[in-house]
Amino acid sequence: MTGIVYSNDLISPSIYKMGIQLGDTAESIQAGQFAHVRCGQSYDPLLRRPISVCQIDAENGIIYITYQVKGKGTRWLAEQAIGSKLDILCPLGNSFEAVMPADINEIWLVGGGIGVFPLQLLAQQYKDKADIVSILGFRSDEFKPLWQPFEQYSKRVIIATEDGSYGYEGLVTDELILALRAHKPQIIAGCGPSKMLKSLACIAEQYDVPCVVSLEERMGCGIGACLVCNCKIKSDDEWHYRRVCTDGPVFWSHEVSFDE
Amino acid sequence: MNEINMCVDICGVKLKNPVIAASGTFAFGREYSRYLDLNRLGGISVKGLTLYPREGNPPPRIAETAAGILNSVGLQNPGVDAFISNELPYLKQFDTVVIANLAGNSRDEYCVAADKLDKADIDMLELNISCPNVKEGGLSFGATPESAYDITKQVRNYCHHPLVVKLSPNVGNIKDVASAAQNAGADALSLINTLLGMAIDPHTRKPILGNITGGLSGPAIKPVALYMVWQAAQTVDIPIIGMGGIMNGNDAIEFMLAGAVAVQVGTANLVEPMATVRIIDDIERYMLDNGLKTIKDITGGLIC
Ligand SMILES: Cc1cc2nc3c(=O)[nH]c(=O)nc-3n(C[C@H](O)[C@H](O)[C@H](O)COP(=O)(O)OP(=O)(O)OC[C@H]3O[C@@H](n4cnc5c(N)ncnc54)[C@H](O)[C@@H]3O)c2cc1C
Ligand SMILES: Cc1cc2nc3c(=O)[nH]c(=O)nc-3n(C[C@H](O)[C@H](O)[C@H](O)COP(=O)(O)O)c2cc1C
Ligand code: FES
Repeated sequence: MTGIVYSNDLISPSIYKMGIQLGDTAESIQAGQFAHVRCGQSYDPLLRRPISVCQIDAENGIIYITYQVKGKGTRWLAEQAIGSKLDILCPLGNSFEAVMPADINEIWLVGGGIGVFPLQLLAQQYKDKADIVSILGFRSDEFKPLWQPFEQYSKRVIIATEDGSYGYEGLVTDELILALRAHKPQIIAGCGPSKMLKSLACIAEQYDVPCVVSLEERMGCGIGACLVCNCKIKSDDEWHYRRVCTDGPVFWSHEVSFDE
Repeated sequence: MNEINMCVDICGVKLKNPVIAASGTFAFGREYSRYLDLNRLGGISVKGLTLYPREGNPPPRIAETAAGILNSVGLQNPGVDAFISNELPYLKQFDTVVIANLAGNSRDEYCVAADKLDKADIDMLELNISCPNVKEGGLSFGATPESAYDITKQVRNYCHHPLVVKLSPNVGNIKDVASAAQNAGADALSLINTLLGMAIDPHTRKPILGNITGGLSGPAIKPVALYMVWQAAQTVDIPIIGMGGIMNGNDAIEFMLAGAVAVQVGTANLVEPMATVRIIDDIERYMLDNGLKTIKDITGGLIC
């Protein structure tokens, strides 16, 4: 489908937030789902880029994505002016809602760096039905605009920065452990670098709290056909490759094998 | 008014148009049915099948390169039996030619699987002797004229459907391998499979693919593919299905001019789910614009 760029602003160092008009599709999107965006008409970059939907303005049919400029694709995105047309497949992937039980009334969101974006939409969509605590980690306070949206949806926001320039100095998982010692939530939802997710899965298991995570893997089609986006999922004593683009990106953390 | 007929006949199998979805990029069709009407396709070559289910290679399995992609899926598939019972009935609902793409680790595996597929309601068998992503097999069968001849001849014994042999570009001389496949009883050839390649991250000093090496496809390989199709077409009398980097109608026409009776579209599906249908429309428009009535008016029409 074709999306129209509604806004495209630099909000933090090398991080842009883009609004895209998608019409009626916008309100059907669930947190954890992503947009697969073609970055120009040329053959370089050739593949689409997967980017999470981080916010929805259903009334106006606008979705928001926040992306870090890393290479060719995201650089192209950053250059798009308001009114430009985007070739988008959206929504793709399962969602947090599809994996989590229906009766959730308390969620802790645990995110690191650019992994916080799918959690932002989760917070927006669960704010009225669940108590939300957001525990988020960043490199420094330069990334404040990335955690600010969580403040309006959360009962409490705990920030950890690696350089100590804001909140607690250290890792988000250290803060999580401190918080878990005081209280165990109904469920944890996590997203971030795989190292962080690996420790998150370990901590959740230790404290016996159900935990869902949203994974990232390099993608081709994004629709489940090419089998290039796989991750290892355990069940009993076996494991199988599952497609991050369609079986995921959201999985139970205890099912994911993070060893690669 | 010019009445256009896009049908092509490959060894007695009628395709409503010359555009086939390429193996490994279209799974078993289901995922694409949300985006296009599968009845519109000339055919579908399904994901490469092996006798037993395979999990495939460790991730990452894809790396983008200049105008191309490297993949190292490694033939992840549910196995021939599961294909026949779960996927084939789905595909048979559609009015399109179903091509079973078969790979293997050993001669015996190829033959047992071919025998199973022989009894199934497929339209053609595409013998994949060119997968670069599994250590034991595939590619090694297609690497020399002798091994290509041998495996084709073996599988021919078990295959009463039209037999298409899919050739690898990773060979010394494509003409020799093409002749060998023809002499061993192939009814048609398809080419090219992916070119061996790799990608390295200069910052981590590591290969990007979990399997270290992979197969290159997409626009980057089109000139190589065209050359090989052209060479094969000059060598054999059996029909040729051309592929490698076809992104639009003109690309497809170029393969037909070089001698292909039909084409397969692979990587383009990953970029644009509707690519096959757009290419069919492009070809039809080309025929209209040039006053051509049949695909025969294009195939082999290179002027040099
Ligand atoms: C489900 C999902 C959701 C994502 N959500 C976001 C988001 O909300 N915001 C954000 O900034 N980033 C997100 N990413 C990561 C984003 O897809 C990559 O940063 C982006 O593809 C990089 O493209 P590039 O052209 O700038 O970089 P290049 O390095 O030029 O990309 C080269 C190739 O590698 C792939 N690639 C590189 N890094 C990644 C990565 N981390 N994950 C997957 N593929 C990668 C690219 O897609 C491309 O095919 C998400 C990834 C996935 C899988
Ligand atoms: C992700 C991926 C998976 C593939 N899997 C198979 C396969 O299982 N069997 C096969 O014969 N070819 C396979 N191929 C090769 C394609 O069918 C085709 O020969 C090749 O990609 C060249 O065409 P293209 O440039 O249009 O993609 C695969 C290609 C890709 C990109
Ligand atoms: S990206 Fe093609 S199957 Fe997931």
